[in-house]
Amino acid sequence: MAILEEVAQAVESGEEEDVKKKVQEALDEGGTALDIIDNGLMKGMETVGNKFADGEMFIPEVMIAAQALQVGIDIVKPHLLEGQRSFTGKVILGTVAGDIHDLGKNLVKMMLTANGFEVIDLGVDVPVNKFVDSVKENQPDILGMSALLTTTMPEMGRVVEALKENGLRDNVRVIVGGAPVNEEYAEKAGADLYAENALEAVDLLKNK
Amino acid sequence: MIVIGELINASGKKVREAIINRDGEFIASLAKRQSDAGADYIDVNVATGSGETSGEVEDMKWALDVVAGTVDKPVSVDTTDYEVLKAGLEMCGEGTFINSVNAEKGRLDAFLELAREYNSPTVALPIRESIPEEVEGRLEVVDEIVKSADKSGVSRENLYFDPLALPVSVDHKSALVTLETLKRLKEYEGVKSTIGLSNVSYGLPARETLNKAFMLFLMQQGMDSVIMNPLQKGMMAAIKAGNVLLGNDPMCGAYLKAYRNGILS
Repeated sequence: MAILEEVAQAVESGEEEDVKKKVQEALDEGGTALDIIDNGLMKGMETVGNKFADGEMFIPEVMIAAQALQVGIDIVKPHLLEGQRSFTGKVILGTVAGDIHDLGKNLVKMMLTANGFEVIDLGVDVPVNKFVDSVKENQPDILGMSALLTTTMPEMGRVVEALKENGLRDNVRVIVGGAPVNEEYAEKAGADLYAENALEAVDLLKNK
Repeated sequence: MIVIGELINASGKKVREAIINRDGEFIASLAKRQSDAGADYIDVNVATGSGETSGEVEDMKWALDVVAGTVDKPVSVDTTDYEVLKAGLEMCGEGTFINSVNAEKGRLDAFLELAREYNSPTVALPIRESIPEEVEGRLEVVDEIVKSADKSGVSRENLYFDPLALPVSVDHKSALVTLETLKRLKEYEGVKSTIGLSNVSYGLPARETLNKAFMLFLMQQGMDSVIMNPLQKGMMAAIKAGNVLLGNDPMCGAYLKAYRNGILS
């Protein structure tokens, strides 16, 4: 359906009004909600993600596109059939307690959203029990933690321990990142995955 | 404009490895290049995250020793750890920069005590549990830190407040908040200012263009110091030019000297 390409194009250019119009047209032409999401909206966002990775698009443009994507999803969502989900996976993200750095985390959030993940952002300085409560409540597929300080990094291990104590560890994959974090440390903290940057995080979560 | 050279920082992979492997040559070269480029202070951050505090104290002592053996410039001890800071100040003595204090519970008073003891210029971040998004929120924290400093006997001239640069790519008005915060610092007589500036251009292309423009706006609002990469010639040149235009360079002496030293081109 050519209209889906136009939906993708509208997302890429971040034109919310265009997205609304094109998504409605696609629905009117008998397109299914899932098809419009996968082959229209998400496709456009995927292009954005790739262009961002290649240095052809920049953060403000990705943010505008992500907003346009959301507008499109909101229109299509009511048309999804029972049991169909509009997302690749559900992710809880946060910067650990004592740490207020959120640039990296926000970039990961943006890239994950751009790649079809539903992201619940707990913000910065997130205490252990808040991570645990949120995992309990939201049942995400993935928990992502960020730390920029060597002094706050050990919080990651504490969260993993607390997940175990609450019998939640096996329900969720844990990915960690941040400047001082490395593969070795991630393993020590009991995380499943470590990503050096936002793009790697998306790659890992999509393909593993 | 006091330039604090930021390149010896363990959050960078190469520097981290150099610290762990005790590669003195690498650290010395970074110190020398920054000094030659016109840095007034050499910042030293050794938070490699690989060990305990005792290890970090040793790392700091080692790195400071390397820097002191290479350049004749004062340093800025960059740490969040009291013991590391104390060890650094003991080694380097009075006038060493402290980078940094903020209003998070537990640390402020202890750090200020060291600042007083060593008469250290001190970077102060208006941060409590998070970064206040608006000017008012930042000033509330400034107020708290100034009061604590007054009480601790730290001279206001030694407080260098950072009005906090956040990426304009994420919020296109964030630089205005920084500039307004800087302007309002004047409500506190005597305090000075500094900034880790490059954050402003995060996520955008041609970052140096933005950094330079921001630098000039900050200078016009009376910025006293900047924490930056002094090897970026364009930035150093912008500072020299700004000083001339703001009337801070009598007979354009520093500008001409910089020209002859090849810093302007």
